[in-house]
Amino acid sequence: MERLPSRRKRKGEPPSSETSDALPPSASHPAPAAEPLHGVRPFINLCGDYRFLRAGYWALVDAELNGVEPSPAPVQAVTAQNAAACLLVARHNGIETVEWKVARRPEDVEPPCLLVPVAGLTEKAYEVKSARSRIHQWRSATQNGTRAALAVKLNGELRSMRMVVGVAAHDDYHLAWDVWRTFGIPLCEIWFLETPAIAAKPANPLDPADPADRADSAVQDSDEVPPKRLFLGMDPLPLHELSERELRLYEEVSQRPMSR
Amino acid sequence: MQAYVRQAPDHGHTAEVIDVADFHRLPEFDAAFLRLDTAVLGLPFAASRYAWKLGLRVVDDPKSMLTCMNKAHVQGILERAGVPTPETVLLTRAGRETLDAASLFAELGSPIVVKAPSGAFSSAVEKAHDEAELKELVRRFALQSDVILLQRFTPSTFDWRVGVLCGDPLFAARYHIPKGAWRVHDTPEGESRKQWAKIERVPLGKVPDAVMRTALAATQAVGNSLYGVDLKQTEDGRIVVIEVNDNPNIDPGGELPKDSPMFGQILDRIAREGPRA
Repeated sequence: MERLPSRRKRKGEPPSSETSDALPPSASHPAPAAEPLHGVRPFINLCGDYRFLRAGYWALVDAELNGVEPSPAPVQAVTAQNAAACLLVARHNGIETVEWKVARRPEDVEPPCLLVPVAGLTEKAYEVKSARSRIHQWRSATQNGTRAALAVKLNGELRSMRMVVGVAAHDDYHLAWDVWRTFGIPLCEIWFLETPAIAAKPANPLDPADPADRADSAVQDSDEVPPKRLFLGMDPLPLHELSERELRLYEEVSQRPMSR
Repeated sequence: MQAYVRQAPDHGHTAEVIDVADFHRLPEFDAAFLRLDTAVLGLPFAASRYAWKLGLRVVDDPKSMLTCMNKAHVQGILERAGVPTPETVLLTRAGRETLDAASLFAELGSPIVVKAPSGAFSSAVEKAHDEAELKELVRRFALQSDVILLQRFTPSTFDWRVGVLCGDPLFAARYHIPKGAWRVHDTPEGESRKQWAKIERVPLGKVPDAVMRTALAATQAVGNSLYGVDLKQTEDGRIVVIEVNDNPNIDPGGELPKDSPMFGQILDRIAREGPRA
């Protein structure tokens, strides 16, 4: 399966303008001034790193302290990072999510599943394929039972889509919009499980029991339950990692009024 | 925990202790009172956040949790609200690169108290007596945070702790710092093990006005939840706020007497006036 990339281990530093302690600048959203501002559009933080107590998170706090509405808000940023909070809030907001439970003990891990530390989706997720490996993997994911981890049922293929302020070049653009609306993370990679499409059982033309079925069998053969996309979490992206096409998309979208 | 459950019916409530991971049960309740180490990147925050979304009254609410788990955030709020604190410099990442230890010692005196924003019970709070110590502490704390607090050292033999719930004082105590130490949880000089401060309960009526006023001003600036405010008196007699804690200890036999009827009153207050969305 795709390995979820661990962002904190990515090599290479982003450009210094995105990590300076001044509020991160962006092409279309100037950093707020020190005095409280009223009637000013929100500050959209494009640094892509909102880890609690890191510079990007502090920029959100600083904006709020100065009366400027940041996006994401600090509570949204931490909610997105906390795997359990992320899934609970997503589901409450109408986003269909993966099936999961808190893995309090190795026995709670039922393969095939993904073990996700609550401290962050990309801390390192573990794919558990067999019951034989689950004790060892549970110990790694929970740091010997000292940290919480979620056991996510792997009933589909792990996929992702990149989202730019609510827009994605993906047929499930609703998911992209809902994630933006819920978490306020402007640029991110959204992770989801795609369950396979289920073909409807074709009617048996030789079955005399229900003649009506034979008449409709041509329609039923093409019916199928479309694949579902179950939200798992997201991985914020910094501005400098956008492709040219995504940058142009961001510039186009950011001209429009932001509404959530 | 059982004191709360036992006294809840005295106020017309039913209370039940559930596991923090039992999120699916939260819709059964009208209010949630978290009594465990609040961890922003753990299940307590998830439970608080979900309870908030469900419309429950919840203590600690997620915003208070985030604020109080970040001493730099609290410092920013208190400064803007005009609540007195020790002289503080917030050292950001850029500030670390141009660290001028001499001018910091000139501004804050010596020793300088170095604090990481997140740490409970005096953990991640150290003193620096010279440039080498300051740089080493800054380097170490920078591993966990991009903002570090540098404060003027305020020596005292005890800290005031005032518990405040929904804007009203709940309890007060003096935390007597172990002899030979300078923090409420510390290893005294010449000892090898950490000791806890001795808790001396103080009736609310006997708390100096300045202490109570400052504590209430601090919590008003932060929010409407349950807080434990730590205060000190400086050598020149001023009262300053050292910290505003979410999820303060309220132990039977500690901050409150063992048989205090206040446990039920606390639940009642949360159920009627606790913060909610």
